[in-house]
Amino acid sequence: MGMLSFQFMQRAFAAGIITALLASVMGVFIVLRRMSMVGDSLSHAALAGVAGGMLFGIYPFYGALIFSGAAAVLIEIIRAAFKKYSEVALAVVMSGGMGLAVVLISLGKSFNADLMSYLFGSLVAVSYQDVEIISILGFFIIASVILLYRELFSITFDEEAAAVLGIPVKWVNFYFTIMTALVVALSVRVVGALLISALMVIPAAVGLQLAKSFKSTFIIAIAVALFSVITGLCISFAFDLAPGGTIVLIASGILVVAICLKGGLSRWTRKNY
Amino acid sequence: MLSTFKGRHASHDDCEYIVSLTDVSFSYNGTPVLRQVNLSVGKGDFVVILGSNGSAKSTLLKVMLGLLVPQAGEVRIFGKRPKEFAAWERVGYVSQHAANVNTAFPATVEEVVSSGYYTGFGRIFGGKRRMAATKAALDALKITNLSKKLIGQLSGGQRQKVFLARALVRQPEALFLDEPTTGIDAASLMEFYSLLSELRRQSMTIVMVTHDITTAAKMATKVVYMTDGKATIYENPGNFLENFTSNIVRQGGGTDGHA
Repeated sequence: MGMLSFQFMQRAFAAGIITALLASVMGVFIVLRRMSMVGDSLSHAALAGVAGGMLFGIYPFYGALIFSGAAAVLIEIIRAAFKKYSEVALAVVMSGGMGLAVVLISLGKSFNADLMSYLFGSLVAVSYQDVEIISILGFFIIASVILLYRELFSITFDEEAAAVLGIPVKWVNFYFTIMTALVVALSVRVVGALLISALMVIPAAVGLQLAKSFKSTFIIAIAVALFSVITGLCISFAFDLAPGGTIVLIASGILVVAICLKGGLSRWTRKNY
Repeated sequence: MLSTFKGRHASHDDCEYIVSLTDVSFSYNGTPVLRQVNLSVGKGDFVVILGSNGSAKSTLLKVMLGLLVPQAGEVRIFGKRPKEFAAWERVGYVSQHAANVNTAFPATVEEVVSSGYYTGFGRIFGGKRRMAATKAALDALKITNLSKKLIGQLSGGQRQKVFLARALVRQPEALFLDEPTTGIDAASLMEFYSLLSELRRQSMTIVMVTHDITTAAKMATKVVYMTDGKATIYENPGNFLENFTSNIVRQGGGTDGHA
């Protein structure tokens, strides 16, 4: 592994592995809650945060964290107003975030390589500071998920019954939303804003295809995410490709194989409509 | 068979009623669906809530459990306001969810049942007690053989037992069932009622929303009949059955009932 002698690759691997772990674990809950698009919405807001950071001279990564968190709260507020149409909130925040990002980018005339690294992910751009932020927040998020595992399972499965179990559903949901926002913002560095959602959703989708239990869904999703990120980083290093795209393509390939294994192909050809 | 569920909380004799509603009114977006409902559920009662579709039966149950907050009136669970009530282990609940569960949800029977054994925030340890309670609940409902199956692989009747087991795993004193007999076959239905009888013998308090008028009303100690958001309460379920036909014809409350 000659590439690990480069310090920037060590940083990319450290950030990538933590990101994979976080994105896949949160992804399982997100997909099961039928909120697959939430990552997309939040990442566009995170992008606005990056652009805002560049414009106002704040470290862009912090900008991403703040905007993503604010967008998550906004989604919850809009969702409360459109209870039966929760997609409305996601669409509004996604386009709103993108709109804001475009305006901020044009204001700052900052359409440059640095911005590109936040759009599509980058190997060389991961700084020591980035790894620090990702590690510290990542540790808290993983610890939170472990501590809240029973609450999250019950709420995801049957929200009303969870409330009667004595779980403070509203607070756990709010906390979960904030954690999702943080994971999205953290993932911006390695996978890029435009592809984060895929890293959350695809490993979870593979898990759903092959799982024999709730726990095994997580194990499969984590394994797929780690495999995709590690091989993706290696390939993108070897061929000088954008890591985000490479990682997502590998994960997608695994999903296709999983669907075929489950006989999805034959199921599809048997249908007449 | 269900001996494990016998009154663990016999020491809690701190209140007269399991649940009581006083002049409770509830509306959805300005449309009133419950109008000044008064209802009390005593220890050992079997309260059956009947009424046509859309007569706010489930709403009533959710108000009783504090899942919905009424605009007027008072709700007490074990003598406490729902917001202040903390002893949720005394209550078991099977939501309507059981009938239309997401069959693609990747959880095993064991995982679903053990999720009912919630003992508070951050209790990730204490696995032994949880496992023992889960095993007891699976045994009691005779679904131990299904424990590793995904819930999507079960029949309606089997799935209903899983949800019952989840509600019973903390050994509650009162069981709240929201249309538990939807989507299950005749054999499972009979099994379900014999199970309820068994729980009744162990002095379990049961509140059940259902469409199944005859069987349920025969077993009940109290029938609540919902029409136009008003609850007519029959302390003598026999009278309810006699009056039921004329009630429907006149679209009003029963002669024996008191609103």
